[in-house]
Amino acid sequence: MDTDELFGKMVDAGKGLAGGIWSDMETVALPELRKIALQIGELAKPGSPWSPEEAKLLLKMQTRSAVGIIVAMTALTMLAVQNAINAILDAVRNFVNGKLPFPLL
Amino acid sequence: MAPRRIPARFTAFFLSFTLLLTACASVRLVPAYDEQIDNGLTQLYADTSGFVDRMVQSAGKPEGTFEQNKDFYTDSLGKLDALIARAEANRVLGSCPSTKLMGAALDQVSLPQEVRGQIGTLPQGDCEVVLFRMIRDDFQDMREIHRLRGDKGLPLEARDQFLSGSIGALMRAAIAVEVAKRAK
Repeated sequence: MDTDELFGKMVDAGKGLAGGIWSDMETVALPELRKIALQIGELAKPGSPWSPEEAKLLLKMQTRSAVGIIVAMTALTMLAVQNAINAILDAVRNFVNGKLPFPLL
Repeated sequence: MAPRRIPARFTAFFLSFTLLLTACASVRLVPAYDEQIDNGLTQLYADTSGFVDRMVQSAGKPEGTFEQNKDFYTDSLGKLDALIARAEANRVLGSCPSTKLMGAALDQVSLPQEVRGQIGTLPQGDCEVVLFRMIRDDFQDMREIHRLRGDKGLPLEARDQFLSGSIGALMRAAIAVEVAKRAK
């Protein structure tokens, strides 16, 4: 049995996983974290229109949102992992079914 | 020399493993795409953006006060409760891997006690449920800030604080998750 093709498909699934996660980091997480950091910086500037109590609540909101971005990235990463696992399962299934005299599925 | 025979238990194991692997139609780690969640979230984002813009423009006027606008918060929190209920009904794992890690990481960071107390106790559930609960918490804080502002209403800076950061950032991230699920 020539397993090179199957190996290639498995590697492609892994490459897609890494590329997908990095793409999500670049397009979702990094820009949003930058915006949140900017807003935290604004709170510290003199002449802020917010009272100390309001500024404290805003800081809490910004910090929570930064954590939330990581939670969203986790969801996106899990989706990418799910897709990669399923791509590998598909490749194995096609390989096995094609090599055996009867279909397994 | 007699040919080597493969032990029966290895053959059985290999066949069982192969059958198991191929029998699994697919693996699911995150809930399937839910159009109602996607639409509800996108609509709430548009409503919130429009609301903050109107409040900023009405600052210092009666129509910009918390009292005149508290229904928006009640409605939005209700919509978020519905989204949370739907996300909980769709749950797959019942937990988000980053929740525990984040709790451990925050233990090692020096944050003001008040901030740490709120952030350190992350909501439970699938990542989407956690995300929606965080958005809900943000809405409650925004409501409290609006209430504290009294007759002054929300200043121009509220737009960036609420829409560029905080609630806006969280909602865009949640929408990105829905879009990724839809594209799958």
